Amino acid sequence: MSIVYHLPILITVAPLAVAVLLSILLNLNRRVVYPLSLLTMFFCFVSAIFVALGVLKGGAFVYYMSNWPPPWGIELLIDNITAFILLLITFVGFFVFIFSKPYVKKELEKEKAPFYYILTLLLLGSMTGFVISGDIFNMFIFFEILSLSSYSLVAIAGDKEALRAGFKYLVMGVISSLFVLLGLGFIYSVTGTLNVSQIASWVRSSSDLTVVYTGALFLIVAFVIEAALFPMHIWLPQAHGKAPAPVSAVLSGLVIGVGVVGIIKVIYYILPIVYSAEFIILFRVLATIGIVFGAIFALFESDLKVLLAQSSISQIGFAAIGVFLFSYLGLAGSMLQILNHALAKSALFFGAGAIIYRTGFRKLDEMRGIGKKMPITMGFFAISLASIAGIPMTCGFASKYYLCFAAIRQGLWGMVGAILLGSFLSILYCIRIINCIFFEEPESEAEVLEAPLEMLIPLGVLSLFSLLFGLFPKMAFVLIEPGVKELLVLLR
Amino acid sequence: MRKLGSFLFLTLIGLFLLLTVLEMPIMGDPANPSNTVTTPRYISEGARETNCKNLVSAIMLNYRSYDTMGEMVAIFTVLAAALAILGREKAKRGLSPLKVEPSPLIKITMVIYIPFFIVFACYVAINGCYSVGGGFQGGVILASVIIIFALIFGFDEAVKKFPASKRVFFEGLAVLYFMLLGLMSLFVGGNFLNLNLFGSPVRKLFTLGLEIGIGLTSGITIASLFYILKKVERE
Amino acid sequence: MMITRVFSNLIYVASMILFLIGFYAVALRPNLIKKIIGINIMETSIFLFLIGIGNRKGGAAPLIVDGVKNYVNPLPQAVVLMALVVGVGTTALALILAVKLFEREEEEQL
Repeated sequence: MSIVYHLPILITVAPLAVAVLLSILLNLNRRVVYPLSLLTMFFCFVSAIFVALGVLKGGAFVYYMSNWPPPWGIELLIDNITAFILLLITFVGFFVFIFSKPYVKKELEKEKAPFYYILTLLLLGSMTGFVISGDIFNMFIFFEILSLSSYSLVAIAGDKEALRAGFKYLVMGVISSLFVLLGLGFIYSVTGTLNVSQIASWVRSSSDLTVVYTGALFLIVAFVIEAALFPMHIWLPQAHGKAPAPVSAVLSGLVIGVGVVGIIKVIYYILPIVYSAEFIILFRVLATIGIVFGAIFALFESDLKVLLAQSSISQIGFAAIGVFLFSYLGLAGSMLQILNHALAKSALFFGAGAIIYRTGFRKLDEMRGIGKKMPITMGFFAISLASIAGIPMTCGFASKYYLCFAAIRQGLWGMVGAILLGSFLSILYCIRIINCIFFEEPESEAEVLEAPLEMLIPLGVLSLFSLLFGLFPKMAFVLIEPGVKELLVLLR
Repeated sequence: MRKLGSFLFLTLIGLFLLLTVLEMPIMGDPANPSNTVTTPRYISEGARETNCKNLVSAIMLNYRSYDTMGEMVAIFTVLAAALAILGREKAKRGLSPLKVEPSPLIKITMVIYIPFFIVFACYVAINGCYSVGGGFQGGVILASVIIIFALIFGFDEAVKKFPASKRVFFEGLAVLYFMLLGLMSLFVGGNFLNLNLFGSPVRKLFTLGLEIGIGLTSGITIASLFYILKKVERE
Repeated sequence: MMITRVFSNLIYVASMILFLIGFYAVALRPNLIKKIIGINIMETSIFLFLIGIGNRKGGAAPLIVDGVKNYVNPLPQAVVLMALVVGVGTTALALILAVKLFEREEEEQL
């Protein structure tokens, strides 16, 4: 077997193992924490590239954990879509670590800093584990690690607001993970297996689906909570707004994207029959409403980070409707949107973090004219903002264009209207930010330095990548197209 | 108003759940899918394939050991989170001494009993493969020993004997052992966490290590839970 | 027909009722500790449900003994054991947050 065969498991285990190792090394030498975790993420990123290339060349493959065949052991599924998500997670994760160093040094207490890195490693590692898993219970376990580490990262600052946000997130997250467990129980009771592909083949050949539909409903609702789609979004603004900026970048850019991947896993991999059920229309409608509502919330928000979090609700709604459309165009738009959101929203939170690092400002009113004082940082910030708004020539435009086209194809005119209205509103709130930071006169004459290089590089790279994928959508399609085609094959 | 709405919502979920439950296969029927798909092989081959007569342990430590690893990492996450959010416990400042000094009779009795408790915990953990019990159960008994110790000799003493850094160290070692086993089987030529590549005696040794590791981690976490709650009482 | 199903699946029905009680406590009670208790009730109800799924009439505990042929399904039990440990972790984290929040509010009142 080639090395590519074993790499996916290493991508999952390496961050987890290093996180555990660091907690032991911590007592000997504190300095080792940062370089080692950065190195691990770099290793994961390089391996993810190899995995993506290997899958592209050799096709999807399965990995039997402990060499036990599926119904008895655990199976990992690595195909084009998971390889793409792995690449995205490790890529953004690597830059999050680069960004973290100056920010954590300034904003967090010295005692907490190593645990911040440990928890972030656990978060990223568990995300990859969740994505490649091919067994529902294994998904549940990694989902739990993911949620546990994100609650604690939200609350790590230890002030009252952060703790409150963390607790609220925890309550919603626990409900979501218990729903996974309950849905798993329903499905197991009629299929007798926990393996994803075996459940799928059982579902395809069976006629009595009441219990399976209930299980599917619970699983979808659970991942809807995690992805913060419209009615379940209430935890998100606080949690993403109060967390440290690099953590917000991970949570907003990746974790809710992984929630959408969870929905994809349920609808396409586990239960490829759900698309014919009536209740799926409900989720489609709710996601459509969420696009408009999230954007309206964002329009009237004064705290920059909370505003960005509110806009995440709207943006992830775009990613979700494509999943519920069950067509090539919809899925391609959805994947492009996950890509765009991961790059641009992380970059935006990096920008907000850089402002906090240099000035301590959080409210939009305080930031008047800051674009004139730190032009390079805010220039990159503006590029990402344009991508979120969906200005032509950016990645965000491509994704919304595809989604709109998919909705027109299927004659869903309400959805077309909502997409257009949502895009319009996102342009509005982006113009509001741009206007505030570039065109208004600064209140004080105090000099503000550019963000340090460690912050500028991640911000620049991520925003330039979102521009690049917008200018040449073909490049993005190289990444997503094989995966989307695979998903559609699963439905038939 | 909000309350009424949520109440209606709950009733709706309840009705929905009840209707589904009535559609489910009859409980305990041998012809149920849950009893026919995976179970026969576990029961007929499990003991031979894994050397574990206790099939629950066989599944946890061999068939689905990757899940167990994830579970231990989850618990480790909680401990790391506790250290990150609460900071280190300071044994000197502010922790309450006991309000009532326990009588020497209790102290002496407990000193005599505690070794037996620990032996029992180890017995339950080590024999997880051959009888009822297992790492987790042993760990819980171990945790109860720590809690009893803290109740009788005071919280300060317990924190001094078993501070957070030590807890993280032990728990980290246990999780790391698990992962090292996994990586080792990669080098031997199997997939991750394949214990069956090693010969029977070596595998038995490794499985024993896993049981002890699970016991340590779960015991430590439950003891930590007690420590955290005890912190509230300080004034 | 319906009634006999209720009786044969009584444990499922009971676990669903427990689930709703827990859900009520989590969703509607403002008290943080009660919320945590609610989380635990929900968890326990799901464990009961899973164990019920693995049941088999007259089955012995899944510990291989010579001469016994009829065992219950060991997989749900293993699943519950693992989910239980994770649940303990979740409870611990919830308590940590609640305790810290309590401390902070106390500091503010002083």
